[in-house]
Amino acid sequence: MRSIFPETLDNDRGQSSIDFIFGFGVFLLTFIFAISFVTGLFTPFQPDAIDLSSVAYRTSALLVEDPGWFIGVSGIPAGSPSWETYPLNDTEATGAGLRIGLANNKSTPNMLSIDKINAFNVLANDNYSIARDKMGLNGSIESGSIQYDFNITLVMNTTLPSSTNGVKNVTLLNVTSPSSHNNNVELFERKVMVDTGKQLFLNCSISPDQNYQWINISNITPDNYDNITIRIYNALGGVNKIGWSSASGIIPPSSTWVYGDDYMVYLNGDPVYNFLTSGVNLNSSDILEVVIHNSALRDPSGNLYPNIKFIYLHANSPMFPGGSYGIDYFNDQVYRLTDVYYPATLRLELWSYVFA
Amino acid sequence: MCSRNDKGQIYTMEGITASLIILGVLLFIIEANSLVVPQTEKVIDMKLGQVSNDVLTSLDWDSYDSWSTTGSLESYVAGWNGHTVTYSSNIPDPDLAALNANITAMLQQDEQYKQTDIQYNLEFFYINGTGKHSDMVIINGEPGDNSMVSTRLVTLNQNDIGLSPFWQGDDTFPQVVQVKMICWHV
Repeated sequence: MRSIFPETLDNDRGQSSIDFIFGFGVFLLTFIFAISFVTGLFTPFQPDAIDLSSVAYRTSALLVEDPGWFIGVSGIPAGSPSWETYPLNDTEATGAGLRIGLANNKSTPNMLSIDKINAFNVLANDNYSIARDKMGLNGSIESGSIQYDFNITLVMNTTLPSSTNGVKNVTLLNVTSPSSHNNNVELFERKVMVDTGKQLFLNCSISPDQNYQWINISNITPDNYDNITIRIYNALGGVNKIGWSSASGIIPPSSTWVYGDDYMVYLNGDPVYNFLTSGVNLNSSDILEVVIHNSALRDPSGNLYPNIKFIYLHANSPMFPGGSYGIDYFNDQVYRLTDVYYPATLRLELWSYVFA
Repeated sequence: MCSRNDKGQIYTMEGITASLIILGVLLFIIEANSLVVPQTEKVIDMKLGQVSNDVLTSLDWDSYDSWSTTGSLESYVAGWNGHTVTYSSNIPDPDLAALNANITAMLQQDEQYKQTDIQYNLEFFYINGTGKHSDMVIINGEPGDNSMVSTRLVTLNQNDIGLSPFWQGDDTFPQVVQVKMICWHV
């Protein structure tokens, strides 16, 4: 078709129309809006998001489900999971190359040992980089050179079912990385139980008729470094004196133990600070824990004192059941040595500067 | 209009249409790909599943010569007296009410980030002389879309302490009960 306009004005091929620019602008705006609005649309395609969460899972699984591994000091067989009883060193030449795990043993995942938790807390706060190595978070062991950093807390809930004083939380583990984290942090939480060790359960509702109680600990073995803990419950009365004796029936004149250093008394989980002056009074719902530190049973060179055979408890009313025969701390058929567990939460924050 | 040659131009409406088509294709590609690539959403689901699995594992301890502020899972299953629940009723069984309180306390224990947004239901599955039974024992709500299920097997024996009249009357021993925890974010 021939136009009435001159040839030069009529030929507009190759120009972009205003309409087209507007239309394309609308498309671009939609596209950018969609990307920014739907958060995490492209997150799965970022390598760090995948990598951090799997490493966080691996680390938490090793801590919670594994008792650890131990190789290397002379005289101790490889593979012993009791890594917490030996000094941990960085190099295999001088000590234990190991994997840190907090579980009691392999067959009970999520049941953590209080000794391992304490050892890990000391190690990680004293020497963070060794702990990081032993947790497999220092990538130089593998092919790459990715280093991860972590914060770990373990908070134990010791609220008694009968408690009217609200929730009672105890922080067992608090490890903070020396370097602060960046924006990309992976958080992993595990629910666990903490095995806080054995206690003698002294149920005072069974015919309470004595002011005195002797606990026989003469069967203690030299390699037993656990504290002696006696849990007194269902009791009505007041405990006011604790000491040691060489035989049942002998009331010691005065205790050579120092309160606070050698033994402690806890009422419903709280330390009793004025025990020496006022003793402690119990209701039937109260739980009293008498803890004799293992160091109180040993001389300065670490040998057990031969004369400490009984622990002597004294009350201001006949609230004890045992009479003078003495309850065997380690092997009594009625008053059992019992493991005490509390639920806890392990929180792991993990990041790496490679993935900023 | 006979004065201009406007063949081949894109106009506003076509631009919008094109943007919609491209967005649609983009979404389709991402959705299809996400079936293969592990992604953040899956990690969140995995964490939820891990928490519920941890709760059941933590509760499953041997109650011989051990004590805790919460009972063992076996003790609660043994004390269950055959009561099922519906969406509108409270938990009639005292053992299961205690278990509900304990699990809720475990889920919400964290001081900093209280996991109050996690809800769960509990179901017992067992087989006895009258066939297969699948009984809801704790109902806290309607499970959401991304619910996670974890299970734990509990074995009851005839001489177990604290067996309820329901299990004693049932008299199928050893009785294996599958405890099923259905967990979801609110």
